[in-house]
Amino acid sequence: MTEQEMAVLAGQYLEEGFTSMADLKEKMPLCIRYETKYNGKERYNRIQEIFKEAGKKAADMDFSQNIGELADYMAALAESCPLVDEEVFDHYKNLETAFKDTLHRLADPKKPGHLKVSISDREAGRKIGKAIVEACDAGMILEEKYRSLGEQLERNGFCTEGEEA
Amino acid sequence: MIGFQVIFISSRKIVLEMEEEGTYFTDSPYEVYLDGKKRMDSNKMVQTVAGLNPDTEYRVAVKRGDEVSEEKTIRTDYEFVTLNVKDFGAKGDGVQDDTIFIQAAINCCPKNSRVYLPKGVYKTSALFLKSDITIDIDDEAVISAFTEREKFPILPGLIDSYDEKSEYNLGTWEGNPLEMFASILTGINVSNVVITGGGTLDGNASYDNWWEGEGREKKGGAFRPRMIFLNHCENITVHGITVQNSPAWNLHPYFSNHTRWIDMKVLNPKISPNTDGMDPESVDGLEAIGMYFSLGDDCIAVKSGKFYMGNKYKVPSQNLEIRHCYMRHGHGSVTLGSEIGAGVRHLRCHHCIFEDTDRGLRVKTRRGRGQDSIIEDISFENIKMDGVLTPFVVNSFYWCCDPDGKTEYVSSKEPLPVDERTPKIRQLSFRNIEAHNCHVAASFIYGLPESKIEEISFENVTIDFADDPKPEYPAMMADVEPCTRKGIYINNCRRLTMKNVKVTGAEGQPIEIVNVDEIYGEDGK
Repeated sequence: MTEQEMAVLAGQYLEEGFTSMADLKEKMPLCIRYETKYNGKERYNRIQEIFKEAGKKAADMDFSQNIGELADYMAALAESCPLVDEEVFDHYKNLETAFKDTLHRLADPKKPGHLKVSISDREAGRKIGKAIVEACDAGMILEEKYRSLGEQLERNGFCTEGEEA
Repeated sequence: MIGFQVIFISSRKIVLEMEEEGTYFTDSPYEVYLDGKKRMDSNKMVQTVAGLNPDTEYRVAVKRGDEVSEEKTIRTDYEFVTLNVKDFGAKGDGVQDDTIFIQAAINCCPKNSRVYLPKGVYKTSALFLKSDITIDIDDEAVISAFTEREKFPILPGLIDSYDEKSEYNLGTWEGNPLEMFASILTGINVSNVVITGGGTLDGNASYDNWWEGEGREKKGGAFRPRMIFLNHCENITVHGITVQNSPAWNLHPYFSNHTRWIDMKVLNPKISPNTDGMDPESVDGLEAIGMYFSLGDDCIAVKSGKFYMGNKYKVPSQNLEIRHCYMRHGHGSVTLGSEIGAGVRHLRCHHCIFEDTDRGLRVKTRRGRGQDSIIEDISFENIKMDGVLTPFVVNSFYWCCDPDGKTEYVSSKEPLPVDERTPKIRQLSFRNIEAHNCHVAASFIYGLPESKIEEISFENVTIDFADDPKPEYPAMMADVEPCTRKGIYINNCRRLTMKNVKVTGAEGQPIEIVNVDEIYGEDGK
C-alpha cells in the first residue's frame, strides 16, 4: 500500500472510530503504522482515545458470553502494541496494560497455564492463543508464564477451566 | 583574609575550595602549601591536590602575596590495598580489549580499596562499578571505549516482576524506561564509590559510529550509552577526570542520591547530537562543583522522566547545587526539562560562567507534563555570561519531540481548564547577574495563562547586546519568530520583582511585561 493510500485510510478510520472489536483489529494497526512512519505521530492521541473506548466496552464483556469480541480485542492489542513508537512510552504501556488486564480475566497469573474460564469456541480460542503468543514474542507479557498456554490454545482452540495447559 | 575549605578528601587526593568571590577562577593567582612547603600555583576556585599518601595527616594552607590563610590539618582516608589493573592482565596498549581484566580487578577489590589504572590506553566496552571502592585513573591513563555496538551489553528497559505487580527498570532513554547499551562506567544499585584521577574517559564517538544519522534511532536493539550511568546509586563521587566524545549524554545520575561531581571536564564537539554534559534525573542531593563543560547540547539538563516515569514513581529532582562551573558552547547552560514529569525543586546555581551558549537558564515545559511536574525554588546568583544568545528562557509551550507537541492544546495562548495535565512553575530567582554580548533577547519568559508562573525575581541584573547580534528563535514554541536585541519579555506571571535591572542596547522596549498581576520595583509595589 502506498503512503497516500495509507493516509486516506488512516484519516477515514480515525474519524470513524470502530464498530466492533474485529473492526478495531482491522483498522488500528494500519493507523499506527501510518502515524509512526509518515505522520510524526500527530494523531497518536486519537488512537489512544479509540483504544480507551474499546477498553471500556471490553470491561463490560464476559468471556463466557462475548468470547469472540474479546478474542478480537486481544488480537487488536497484541498486533497494535508493538507498532507504537516506544519513545511515546505511556501510549505503548497503555496498550500493554490493557492486554494484560484482559488476559488476567482469562488466565490465572498465580497458576501459570491455568484458565479461569473454559473456552468452548475453538475459533476464538485459537485467536486468543495466537494473540498470547504474539504478546510473548513482543515482550508484552512474561513468556515463562503464558507461552505454553498460548501455544496450546493456538493449536487446539480450547482449554478447560482449572486444568493446566 | 584569604581562606579555603577542604571539600573532598580521599586516600590520595584532596580538593580545596577558595572562600572568596570568584566565578570558576579566582580574581588573582594563589599558592597551595602542604606541611609548610609550596605544592602548586592555582587560579581556580576549586583546586585538586594530588599525590598524597593514605591515612596520613597534612597541614594545608594557601597564600597570596603577603596574605596567608589559616592552616588546616586534614587526614587522608584509610586505604586497604591497591589493585593495579595490569596485574590482572590489562595491557593498556591501545589494542587489547582490556574490559574483562579491569572488570576482574573491580570485582576483586575489597572494601576501602583502590583499583588503579596506570599510564596507558585501555580499550574497553562497558565496565560495571562495585560498592565501597575507589577507581583511580592515572593522569596519563585513558579508558578508550570501543564504538562497535555489538561489544556492549544491553540494559533492558522494564522487566516485569514474576507476580506482575511490579517492575525492574534498568535502561533509560530520554525520560522513558527503554533498552540502552550499558555505559562506559555503569553503576547499578551501588554505593560509596569514588571515581577519581586526572585521566580521561573517551567515548570515541563520531558521525562514523554512534552519531551516525544524528543517533536518534535504536540500533542493535538498544539506544546509545552514556559515559557514566548511575542507576539507583548512593554516595558516589566523580572527581578530577576528563570525560569526552560521548555517544550520547555524558553523565547520567538516574534515581541516584547524594552524588558529587568535582573539578572535572566534560568535552564534546559543538556539532555532536544529544551530548548533554550532565543529566540528573529523579535525583536527590547533587553537587556539581568546579566543572568545565564544552558541548554540543545542554551543559546541565535536570530531568525527572517523561509522563510514565514521572507519573508512576513521582520522584522529582531536588536539592541540587551547581557552583563554580564554566559552561561553554551548549544549547543551554542549565536546563530544566523537557522531561520533568515529576518536577524539579530546590536548585541553586551560583558563581558560574556561561559563555557562548544558546541560553543561560532554560526551562522547557508544556501542557500535558502533568500536575506532578512542578518547578519550585530555582535560584541563579552571581553568574557571569558572555555571548549567550538569550540569558533567561522559560517556555511553557515547548513543542519539540512529543506526539502532541504541535497541537492546539500545547500551543494555545488562551487559558485552558486546569486539570491533571497542567504543569506548574513556582519560584524563579535571578540575582547579581551580568550578561554581556547577548544576541537574541535579554529574557523570554512565557508562562501558561491558566497556571501563571507564581513568582519571578530579578535583582542586580545587567544585560547588554553584541555589536553584531545573530537572529535566532528565543524559544521553541509556536508563533515566535527569530529576533535580535529583544529586551526582557515576561508574560503570564503572578508576582514579578525587578530591582536594579539594566538592559542596554535593546531595540524596542527594554522591558515588556504582559499579563503580570503584581509588580514590585525598587520602592515596593
